[in-house]
Amino acid sequence: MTSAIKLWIKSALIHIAFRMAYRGEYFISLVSMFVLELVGPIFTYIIYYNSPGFAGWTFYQVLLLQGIFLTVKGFSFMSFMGIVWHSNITLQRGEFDLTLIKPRNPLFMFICQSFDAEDTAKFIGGLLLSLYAILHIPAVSLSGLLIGIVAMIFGVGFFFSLALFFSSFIFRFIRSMRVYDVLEAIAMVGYYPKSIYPRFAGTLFTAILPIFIVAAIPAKAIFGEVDIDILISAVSVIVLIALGLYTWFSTIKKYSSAGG
Amino acid sequence: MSVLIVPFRFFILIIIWSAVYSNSASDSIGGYSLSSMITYFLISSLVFTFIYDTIAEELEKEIKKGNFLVFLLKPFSYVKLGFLKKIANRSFSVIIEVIPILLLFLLFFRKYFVMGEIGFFTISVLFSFVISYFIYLLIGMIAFWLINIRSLAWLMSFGIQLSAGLYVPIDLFPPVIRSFFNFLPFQYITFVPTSIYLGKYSADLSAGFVSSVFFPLLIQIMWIFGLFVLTIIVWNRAKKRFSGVGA
Repeated sequence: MTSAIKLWIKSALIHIAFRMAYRGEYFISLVSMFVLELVGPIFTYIIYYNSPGFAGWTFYQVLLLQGIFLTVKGFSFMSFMGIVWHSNITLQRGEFDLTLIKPRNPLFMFICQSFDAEDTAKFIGGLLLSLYAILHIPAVSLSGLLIGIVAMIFGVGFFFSLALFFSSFIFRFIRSMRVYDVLEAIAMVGYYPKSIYPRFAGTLFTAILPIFIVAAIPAKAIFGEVDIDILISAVSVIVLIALGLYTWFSTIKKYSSAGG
Repeated sequence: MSVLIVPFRFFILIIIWSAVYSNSASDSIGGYSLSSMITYFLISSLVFTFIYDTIAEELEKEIKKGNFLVFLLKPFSYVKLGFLKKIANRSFSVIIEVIPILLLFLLFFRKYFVMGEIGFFTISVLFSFVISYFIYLLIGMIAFWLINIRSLAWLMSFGIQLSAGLYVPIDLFPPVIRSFFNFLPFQYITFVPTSIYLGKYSADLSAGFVSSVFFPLLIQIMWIFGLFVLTIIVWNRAKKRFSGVGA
């Protein structure tokens, strides 16, 4: 385990060092990555500037939800979501063999190779946004905060399962980069409170495709509202990860090394 | 895949705005009813799809690799060539993107669609097509100085899209920000054509020229002229910086 963590850190540092070769461009890229994610908060600000906003939610509560979303998304994109993009490049060139011959679990190696140095900005920006929002929300309890953090970890797990499914999809259908659009479309749901969605959508995105575990559920937990949703979504995430791992390892057996 | 994604995105947008309107005491927010708000997002995204420009990325690539040299040898201006390529490329996008998105929207969300002013809207979109070309070409020209502008171009594109009203109608922004946007040409890319479509300007001159549809069209023409002059000046200076080495 320790050697795996060391390897991951080493690989992350190599990616950052590589980007630092053009540091001016890298820093602008970091800023761009964060700023591009501000569409949601700007949109929310405009909504609250012109109207009472969403029923039962103050502006800072929605901002916290979006900050949490950005934190979880940023961490996931930085750490492992790059396997989706990396699958595409590697398979087009028929280079996955290089991952397979290494003396480590191929999924772990693939994750190490896919570290995204630019998405660190999303992660840090998300943390700052969450912190800023929390400072404006009265009565945040420590227990609520801890439950919220646990829910966020499951949110990372949800993104991990998506990464596995999308990567597997690309293994089968090379050059399917529109999966990123699907990912962004799913992510769009998680940027807003569950209460605004119709009941069927609420159930779908809590139990089947639990995007609400990324931010809506953690945010509510931080306000002190913990309900059964957290358990339902957590179980769903565990099932999705198990299915994702099974799918990914089954799919790589079909890798032909021919490129595409 | 777009067949699934596009209706899904509008579905989410409709849910968000429906929640906002149902929690509001008024049927109108910033002068927009729910239907006109949803139509705003549809039309502005269609306009943006039509005028979408890749000239900045293309020019950066040619400069970075040194391939721009080839264009200097040809008896044809790169500026003209880029514009003609854009016409060809975006005309095709009308068939494969604009019309399918519109049809999908009408298929799933017809009740949120507001029929608007087509004639002046079309003229305004054509002007915005030219304005956006000059803007993105100017961004691309920064590569003559900085070489690698990928991230800067993303950042600038975000600013342009925000102030063009692609994410939110710019008349919903606080007055200070709105006044700042008024000094920029970007709102003439999507916000103004979409507002013309939604009938925010009258074709009748009796209410005064400034509140008529002819005023924003005139401003668009002035921006085209201003940006054209700026493009020529910057282009002539930028070309001299090109070394042809590439990497």
